[in-house]
Amino acid sequence: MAGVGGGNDLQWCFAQVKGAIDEDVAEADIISTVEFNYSGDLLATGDKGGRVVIFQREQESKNHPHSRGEYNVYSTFQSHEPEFDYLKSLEIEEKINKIRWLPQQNAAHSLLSTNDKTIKLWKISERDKKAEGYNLKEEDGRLRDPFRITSLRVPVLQPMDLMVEASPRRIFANAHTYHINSISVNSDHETYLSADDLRINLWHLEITDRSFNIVDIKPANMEELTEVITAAECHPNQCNVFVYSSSKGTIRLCDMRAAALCDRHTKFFEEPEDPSSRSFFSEIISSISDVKFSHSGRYMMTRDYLSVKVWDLNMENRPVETYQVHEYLRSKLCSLYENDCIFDKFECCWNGTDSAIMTGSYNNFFRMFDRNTRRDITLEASRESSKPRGILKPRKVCTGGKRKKDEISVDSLDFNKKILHTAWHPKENVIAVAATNNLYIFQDKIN
Amino acid sequence: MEFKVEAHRIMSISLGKIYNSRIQRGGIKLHKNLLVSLVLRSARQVYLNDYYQSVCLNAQQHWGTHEEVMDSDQPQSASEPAGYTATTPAAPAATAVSEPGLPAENTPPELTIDVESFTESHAAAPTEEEEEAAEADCTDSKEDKSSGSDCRRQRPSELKGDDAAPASSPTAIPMAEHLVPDNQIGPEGEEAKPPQDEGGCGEADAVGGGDGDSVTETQLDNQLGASCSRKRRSSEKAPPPESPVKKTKRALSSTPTGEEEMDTANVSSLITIFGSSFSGLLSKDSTQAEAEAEDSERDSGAAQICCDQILKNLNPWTTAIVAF
Repeated sequence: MAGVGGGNDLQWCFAQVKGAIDEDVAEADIISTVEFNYSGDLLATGDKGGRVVIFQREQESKNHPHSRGEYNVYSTFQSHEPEFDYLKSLEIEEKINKIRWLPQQNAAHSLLSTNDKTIKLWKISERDKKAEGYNLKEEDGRLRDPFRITSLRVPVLQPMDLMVEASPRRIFANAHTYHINSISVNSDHETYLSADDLRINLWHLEITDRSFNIVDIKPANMEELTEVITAAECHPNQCNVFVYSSSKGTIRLCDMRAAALCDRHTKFFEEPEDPSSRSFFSEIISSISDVKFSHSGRYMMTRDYLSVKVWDLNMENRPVETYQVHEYLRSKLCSLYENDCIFDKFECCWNGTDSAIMTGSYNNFFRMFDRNTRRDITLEASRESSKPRGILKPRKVCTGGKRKKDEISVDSLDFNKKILHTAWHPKENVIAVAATNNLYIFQDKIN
Repeated sequence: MEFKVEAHRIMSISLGKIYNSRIQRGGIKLHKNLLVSLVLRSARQVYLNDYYQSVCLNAQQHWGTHEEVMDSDQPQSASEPAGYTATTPAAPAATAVSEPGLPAENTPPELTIDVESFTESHAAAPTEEEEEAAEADCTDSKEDKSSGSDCRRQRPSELKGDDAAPASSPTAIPMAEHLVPDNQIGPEGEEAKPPQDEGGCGEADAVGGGDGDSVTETQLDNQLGASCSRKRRSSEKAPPPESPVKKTKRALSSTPTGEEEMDTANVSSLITIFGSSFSGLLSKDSTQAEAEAEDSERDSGAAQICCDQILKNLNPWTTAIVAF
């Protein structure tokens, strides 16, 4: 069986699934972002209802020393609420577009979460002790009458049940006219960038009333608009470098040392279009939906509708690797346009060692590509194939001709079951896959 | 031929998407609508290419059959003569002057309103070329106002279509500047003014062709064959004046499919609703106009307000983008 992600004999098995089993999925429960923190112990998800749920991996138990800990709910909080822009008579959705963890600096954890207009910095802290024995107030909070106090005592910390609190420490608002699509924490751990359709702003984590605009592609005459920014990310090592992708399938790398306003790119990545494959929808499918740097910082990966491309930052004229995710959809573009599926924004991710990449598809399929062996595998996130520690069976889509057993034909694919968001543990072979309202956690088989 | 059908279908779908994006939660998504407009533009180019080719190829045959079609449609169009009297002044004075044009022809209010709704005030690019081309065509059509003009009317659009194809910068729409003051004069539109009509029609061609942004042109092009053929039919009689909105409704319902192989009624309705709806997006006044435009029976007074309101908001789509 083909293995992807670090070894020839790697097999993926089901570990956990979170979320309701109902067929009727409430729109608010649809997961809209998934992100591991830097250590991989915490896994955050955001949904369309504006809620953030954080899972924590429990310590490996002594009873099962070889099995990894399970992810259990650590904290749940409402990050964003629906708002109304009175000036434009527009409702602002509370859907969480992105979550990005901040590097941990003390006992508390911090993350940035954003909806279309506002970014919030949340601090998640634990409290497992409380002080008892105050002089001026009773245990229930009532104030004691000062005249009744005859002696002083020192309050004592007593253990209590663990309580995880999330509090919004910073709110970065009113800086974006258009819909925010990306946030990215800089490697200096002091700044971060936020990108909307036409502009990218640079923030300092401590300062909420100001941000620097570093990219502005809004034309003087909006009728001349031809492309928008679709994703942006800071370089993992060089705090002066960032990239942003466009709806035209191009990526621009900018160096903030060159100018205050990075309208002129330092590098421009574009693959020439194949004229033989032009159609009505060529422009839509070339629009990049996600861009991610490799952990090393040498490569970056872009996801467009049908493929994933790996670029070497030193070569601008074409990607070094291209992987077809679901090429069988190329002949169905018209139908996908009609049902709006062609506008789906798939994300992609690297594994910890940059040897494999993963992205989602339809019918709850997700694909992994091993960059070294050039092997790929299609797996499915479904309840049916989710036996505890059950090995996932590779799936195959039949593109034409005779359908073999266990293959699924293109016309049978369920386009409502799409995997847009996936995340790979930074150090281990553990992946989190969001399938509509369910979060699946898979891990490699431990022999 | 298949490409034309497919292109037309894609254009209808795209317009529907743009319309629906108005009511989606969270506001208009710029990225998605940009992509939809790109598809619309591609489809329009294919549609125009095919349409022009097929029309020119069939021009010879149409000469004979066209008059028959016109005669047979006369009883039908008799009930909606008013469709051709409104907003005649819409025809820009600039091009109207030199047009002998067809007699007693009026730009259908449907076309006019749509044109005004979607015309964009771009920086002037090949404005003069458009006007000249339109004038030349309209002059020719005086001599032969039957099917040949179909081809000729389409020509300026086609020219502009080609020009506009690769360019992302939009071209000038001369009609925009002319239409606003003219259209305020609602009641005057009831008089038949042949030169202006011809100019109007030609101008519509120019507008339809010149705009690099596909939204405007698609509707205009779809409307074009319909409106021009209606104009020719109504030239047979003197149309009594009627309220603009009623004309709009009847014009909509009677979108001819005789000459055109495509059924444009679908697209026409979408366009009209779309145009007035976008007006509503922008201001309270426009909302009133939208409500009025979409109601079925109106008196001329309200209709006049409706026209004025819509006409004031020339570029709902682009203005919406700008406002957004």
